[in-house]
Amino acid sequence: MKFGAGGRRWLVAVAAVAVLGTSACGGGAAQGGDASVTKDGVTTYKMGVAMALSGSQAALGQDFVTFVKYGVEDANKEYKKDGFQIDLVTEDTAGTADVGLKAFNKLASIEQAPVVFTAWSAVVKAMAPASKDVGVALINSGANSPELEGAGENLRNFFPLASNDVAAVSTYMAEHEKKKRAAIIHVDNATGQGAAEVYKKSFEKAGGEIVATESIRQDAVDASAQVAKVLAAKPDTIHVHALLGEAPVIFKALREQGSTVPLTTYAGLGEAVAVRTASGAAMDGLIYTTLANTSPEDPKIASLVERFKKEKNREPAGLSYDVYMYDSAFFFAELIKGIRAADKPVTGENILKAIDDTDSFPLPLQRSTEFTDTGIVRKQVILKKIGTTADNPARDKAIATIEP
Amino acid sequence: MDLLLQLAKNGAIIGLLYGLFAYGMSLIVSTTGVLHFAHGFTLVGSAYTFWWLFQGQDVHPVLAAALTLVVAGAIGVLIELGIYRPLRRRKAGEMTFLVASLAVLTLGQNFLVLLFGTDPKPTPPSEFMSWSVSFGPLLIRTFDVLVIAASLVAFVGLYLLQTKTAVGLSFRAVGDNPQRAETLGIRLQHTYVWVFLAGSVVAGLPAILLSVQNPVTPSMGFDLLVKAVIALVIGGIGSMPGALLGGVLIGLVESLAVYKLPTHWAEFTLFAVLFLFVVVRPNGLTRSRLRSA
Repeated sequence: MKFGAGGRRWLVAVAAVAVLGTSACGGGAAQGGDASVTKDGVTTYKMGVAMALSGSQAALGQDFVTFVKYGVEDANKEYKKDGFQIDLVTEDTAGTADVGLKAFNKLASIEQAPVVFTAWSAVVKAMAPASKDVGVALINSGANSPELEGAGENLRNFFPLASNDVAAVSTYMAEHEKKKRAAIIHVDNATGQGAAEVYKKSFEKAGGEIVATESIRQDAVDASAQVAKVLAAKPDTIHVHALLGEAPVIFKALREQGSTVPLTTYAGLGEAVAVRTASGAAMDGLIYTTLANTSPEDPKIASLVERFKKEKNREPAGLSYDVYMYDSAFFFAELIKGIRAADKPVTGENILKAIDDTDSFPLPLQRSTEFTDTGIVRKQVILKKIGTTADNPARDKAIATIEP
Repeated sequence: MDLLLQLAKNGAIIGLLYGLFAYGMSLIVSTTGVLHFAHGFTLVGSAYTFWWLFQGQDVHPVLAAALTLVVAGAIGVLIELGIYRPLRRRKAGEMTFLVASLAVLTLGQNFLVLLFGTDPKPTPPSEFMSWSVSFGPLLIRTFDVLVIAASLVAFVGLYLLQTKTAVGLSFRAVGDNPQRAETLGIRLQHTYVWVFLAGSVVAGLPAILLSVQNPVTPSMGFDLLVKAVIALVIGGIGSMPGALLGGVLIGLVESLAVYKLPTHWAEFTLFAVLFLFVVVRPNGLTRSRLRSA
């Protein structure tokens, strides 16, 4: 059978489409497999990291990647003696499920990374089924929706879920602050919905009543209707669980409508400098949860923050999250070390097995982490109170420490 | 009842903001026939300009606002001269104009990302913006007063421009029938530049108002653009008062819908109203029609 020039071009085009289609659909045979490269006796393993590098969540996502990069650089120095190093490969999720899924497919199919670290609940939820299909280990290192517990066979939650910290602040407000009528304003996605559910359950369990729950669209430019409805229910505390885009709108609307009701939130907002600047005095006195020690007195934390400030000329956006990001590189290095010691290839399957079979992982900033049978971690919750929003978040006063 | 009044006030204010944005867009659409989605970029570009002047360069807010309006007008004129005029010369179809407009919006947003990064750029609340006064159950803020004032200035200003000046009258003549206007001696290209200048300066107003209220992000224009297009459909595409009316109506629908319904139903209600208008009154509240570019 002979083909003319046009026919050959046609065949080449069909072949190219087939190759591209196979990779885009995640049909590569080696996905989740051992794609390591050995050169001069040092084996390199790819660490896939998918974060929000564009869109309204990028302020956090870009800092997350910077701290993972610091972690990888430091881990590579520490584990060089063990004969391996980590190669960081990043992709943008824009903090949304659809872009996140594309990022995951690229990391799994084209980069052949055996593990993907990611954040944002909607993104993790979208990636979870795909990770099972391609045999890649999916590690949540920054999302907190309680729905992520058991959301996928290949998913492990390296970051504590809202069932840990939101439950703690909810119970604290009911039992310690004697609040009886709580209201919730949450972003209308997996992050907000899950946290609202946890807050409600814990607050009611502690004897309180939820008098209003209102949602707000991600990146909304107005929250006056939500705030008016919530204030009309006369709550004695309000929990805000939103993201960077819409949070200042909520806090400002609360202040503008004359609210003096004590507010609570989580570290993603409490520590975010952009949210604090935009909200101004509206966040003064707010109580928020943190899941890591970010004290500037800790020399390791201080040195990392200094390194960041020298490079970026500003404070990091969400320091308690950054702790988990930095540690995630060492967590992966520990997994590689263990798998190599057992003389097995570093595949998605072996990574998951190593997580499940290991009691505790030593980490430089968190000291250690332990997974439960359901693939989550539970950490000490530190409640912090904002004095004035102009303060450095690291200087916010810790008002309570709640053990898991 | 107090809540209902407060929601109605909030809806009217945010509706005026939508209307203000739709108003400038409508002026351009009614005169040129181009569905100018790049108006979203004019808004975001202006918002970043104001933030950069006010926060970054410490320029007095009034001067920063005035300079922002100049930049807004310049963005609109550059889009007309650099994109639409060459397309018009090549007799491009409506779809090409639409795609070009969307491309300018997306490229412009990405350009801002390269220039300013993706992190939100906040304007710290000031004493002036924190002022408020209560009238019974109604709380009136500085922001509300500024939105009302800006809407009045834009409405009266554009009304006078369109009824009392030669260039404004040429907008209406060209919008009505460009060929006839040309035979009457109106220079079409000249009119298009003026209309993009005027419509884009109007977009600078909501940009300034939004940037003092919310952190500025590259994606902030899209939400307002969607609302502006809905306002145009409801008010009647190409109709000036219709745009403002449509904006206020969607603000009220969004806000009042949540009086009894959960807040996440607001958008559903809004789109249900839009659907109703498309089916029952496809030309909107007013009867203007969009002509082709």
